[in-house]
Amino acid sequence: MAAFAAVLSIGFASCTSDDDADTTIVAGTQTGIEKACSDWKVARANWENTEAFLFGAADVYSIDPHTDTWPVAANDLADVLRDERAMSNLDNFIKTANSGILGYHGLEYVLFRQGQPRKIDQITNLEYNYICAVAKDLYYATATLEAAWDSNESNAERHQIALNYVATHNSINDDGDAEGALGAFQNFGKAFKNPGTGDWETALDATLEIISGCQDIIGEVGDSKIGLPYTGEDATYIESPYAYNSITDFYDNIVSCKNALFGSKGATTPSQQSLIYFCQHAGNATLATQANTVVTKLEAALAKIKAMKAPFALYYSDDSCKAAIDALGELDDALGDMAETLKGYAGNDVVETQCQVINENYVDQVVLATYRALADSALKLYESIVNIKN
Amino acid sequence: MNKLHLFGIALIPAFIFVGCADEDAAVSEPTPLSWDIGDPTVTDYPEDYYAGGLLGTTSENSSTAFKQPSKAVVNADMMQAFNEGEYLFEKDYNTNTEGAFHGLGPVYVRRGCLYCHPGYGHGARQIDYKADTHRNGYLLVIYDKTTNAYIRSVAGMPQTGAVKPFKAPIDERQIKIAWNNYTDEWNNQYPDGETYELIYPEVTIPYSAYYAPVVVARGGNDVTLSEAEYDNDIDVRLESTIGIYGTGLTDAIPDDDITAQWKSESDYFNRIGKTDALNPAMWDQTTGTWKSYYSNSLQGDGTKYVRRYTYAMSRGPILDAAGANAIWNITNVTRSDRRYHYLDLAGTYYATKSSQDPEVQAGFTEYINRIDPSNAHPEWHTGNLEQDIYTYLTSKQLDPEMTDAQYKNLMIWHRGLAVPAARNTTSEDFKKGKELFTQIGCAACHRPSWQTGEDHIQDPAKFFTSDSDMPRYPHQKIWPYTDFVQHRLFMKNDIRTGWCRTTPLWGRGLAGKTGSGTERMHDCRARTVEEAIMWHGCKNEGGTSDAYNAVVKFRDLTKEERNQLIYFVESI
Repeated sequence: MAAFAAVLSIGFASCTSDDDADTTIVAGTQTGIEKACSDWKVARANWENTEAFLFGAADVYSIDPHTDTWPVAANDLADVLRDERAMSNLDNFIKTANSGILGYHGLEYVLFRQGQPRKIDQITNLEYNYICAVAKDLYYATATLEAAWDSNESNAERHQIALNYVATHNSINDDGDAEGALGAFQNFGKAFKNPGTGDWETALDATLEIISGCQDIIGEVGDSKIGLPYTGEDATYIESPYAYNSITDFYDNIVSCKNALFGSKGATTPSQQSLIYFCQHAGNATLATQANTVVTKLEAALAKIKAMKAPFALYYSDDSCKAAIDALGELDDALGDMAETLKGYAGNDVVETQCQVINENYVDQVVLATYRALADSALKLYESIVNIKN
Repeated sequence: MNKLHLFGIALIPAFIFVGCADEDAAVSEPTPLSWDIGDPTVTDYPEDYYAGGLLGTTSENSSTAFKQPSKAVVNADMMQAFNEGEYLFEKDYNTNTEGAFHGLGPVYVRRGCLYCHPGYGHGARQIDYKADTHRNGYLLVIYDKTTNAYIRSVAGMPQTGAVKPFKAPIDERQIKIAWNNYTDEWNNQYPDGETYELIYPEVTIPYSAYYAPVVVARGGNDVTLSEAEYDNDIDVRLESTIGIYGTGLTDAIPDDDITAQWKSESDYFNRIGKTDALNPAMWDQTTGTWKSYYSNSLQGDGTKYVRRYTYAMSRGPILDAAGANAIWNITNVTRSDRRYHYLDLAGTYYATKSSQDPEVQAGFTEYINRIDPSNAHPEWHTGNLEQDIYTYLTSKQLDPEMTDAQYKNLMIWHRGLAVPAARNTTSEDFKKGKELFTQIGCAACHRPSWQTGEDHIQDPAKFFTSDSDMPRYPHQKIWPYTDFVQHRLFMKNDIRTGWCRTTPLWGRGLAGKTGSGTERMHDCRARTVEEAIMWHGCKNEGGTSDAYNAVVKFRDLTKEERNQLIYFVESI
């Protein structure tokens, strides 16, 4: 814990002690930074709500690491603030910069300390300029996710942002121009809805990906995000430590799974086009039992996470963490059982037909709806960060 | 394949509204849908479905297919360790001096593992070289054309990243990667008229991109090259990462069995009069014996092991192979058995240049006070900056930044990754493709299956000593599709030395879905399986490819047969 506390206290001390750095304080208000912090939490929740579907664009375009790398490379961030070349061309610098100084956690590091908004009289103009650029980049990344899953390409502005993002974020020259083209923009929403046109050969294949996406984040939350600090493997593995947002992050991750399995963003019960509903009503008793078990274990996992003693950064070894880890393990197992049964229906026309329905609903009502909310909240966060300055 | 009885009426998943006096309620409360899908089909999979054997195969073929633990991990009750190892693999290291994932630098190839192993698999083709670009799995291979040896003034895996005040050994902004079109002897056309395209990389690093003078070894001496000599004598190649999954399983193949494969090929080539078919640096074709073994006398006791990993076959057992090395040398994160920095091959040129660089000197005091705030290493704080910098960079007593427990967990994860089951194994196209794969000669080098042995742990570095340290895979039939032998393809701008170990093919068809690079060959020049096959058919670039005859036969297949063979390769 001592090491952890030391990291928290580093702040930008190295920046303010440097003679070359501009340490002038931004002309803003405390209300402004508090609004930005509030909007960061909303945008953060929306991001955590996407973690059950990190496959596709988030992975292939490396948007997940670009926006959600942790821990923050605090020394590097301090160095960037002192780097005139980078600071004078921030928008381009950020496109290919070290992910450890970008995204949610880069913003969190500048905006928060010990769970609270920083004081406005501690925020320098350099920091302000920096987080404006990072927040804009974050918005572009989230807009790209939305566009990449929008099978109807319904938002021309965000579609164009996505084209630019894909063209420049892997390879730009010093002027910020794309250097050649490596793989064109792909519409993952279309591919997911149309088996055989992309990475998913059958509709069942794509439906199984829904489960796999859930299991991936359930495992990460239970085994790594909560598990590693709890088991004492390493207490420094605590994400979102500056905002004390960890338990909220975990909860929102599992809400992401609930949305995916129940068939809509904000779902409370399974929709008729959802995977769970189909498994409950498919006419196979084993599958129905497994689906019902998933529902029970899902609610239990959410309840156990909510019951964890907060903040996690201080209470990571509390017994309530073990209860959450166990509940997540049971949920993972239940999903695994359901997936194994479903795999036995490869080639079954009824299953294939209904998986097509499930997948189309999943793309539109879960993935696209969540990414749209994410991009909207990221835009709002960007605007509120800009407005920190009077 | 579907043996289920289906009820026709249930086939149409339509809303059925129940007649009701309350029409509004009827509209808003449709009768729940139901189906009758019967029981699942039980498929009797062929043995090659279980690519990693019963202990090392995962049935997961989704985007997380390459990330799965094997049954051996679960059986050994090592899931917690596996999970931490996975975390260490997935996160970036940073320049913080404390806390999670600290210890990056002073120079580095990448900040973390996923940059080069996206989705845990193969790197993706790049059009420039940037260490911070995700999916860039390239290592720069800079070598002296006159000796085929790496230059000595940068690392074997050269760094382009540095922590201030230090400077990168190579300025990556000056690296150029051009992709040129290649026309083969058949004018990129099959006998049936179908055409294909081939591209290859031409990499240039100007003399000005090097921080320290460029030095090569000639006649036992280090020789500093002028710019003109550099331009004339030095070539650059790219080598991409391959997938990590399954490397624990191939580690379980007995040394003797790999030796037997080399011996078998050696005898065969001798019989047909091709007496220079195997790499003379590795194998004596006259005596049918190894000329080179892997051993580690620095951390280990010099015991000799059969080589089996990397394109160049530079490594033996997995516990002292590419991954064990990379977690240290790619990031320069130290651990108890590697308490020194990975710098240039000679170990002096970068340190000397840095120690005399006024800009490095200007920032060193702040840097070293951050690294060693308690002055635990007074030899780095004497005030003689040139001496302090040199002493620090070349120190053999650096503080470990990764704990032994972390390193062990990383290696448990590494050895514990399962291989995805083969797909489509019961389909007719798979079966036909499999037949063709053997028939035209692909299987001669891409040997389909191996049998693992007792799988007692071997670690040349002697860090791991007990069978209980690792997940193990005794007596498994596995399907990696490689002979672990080096061959030559004689491609345009070929790999350094021309000798390349046959790359395992298992799992590669899932590269797109897992977010890995879908390209094949050592430098990602093949954008498709078809292009990869055709790159095996060169004979106008200094020699005739060892796979030339197989490609000739591939060309003579019908389009449907070619597609079936490709389908098979994508499915295994």
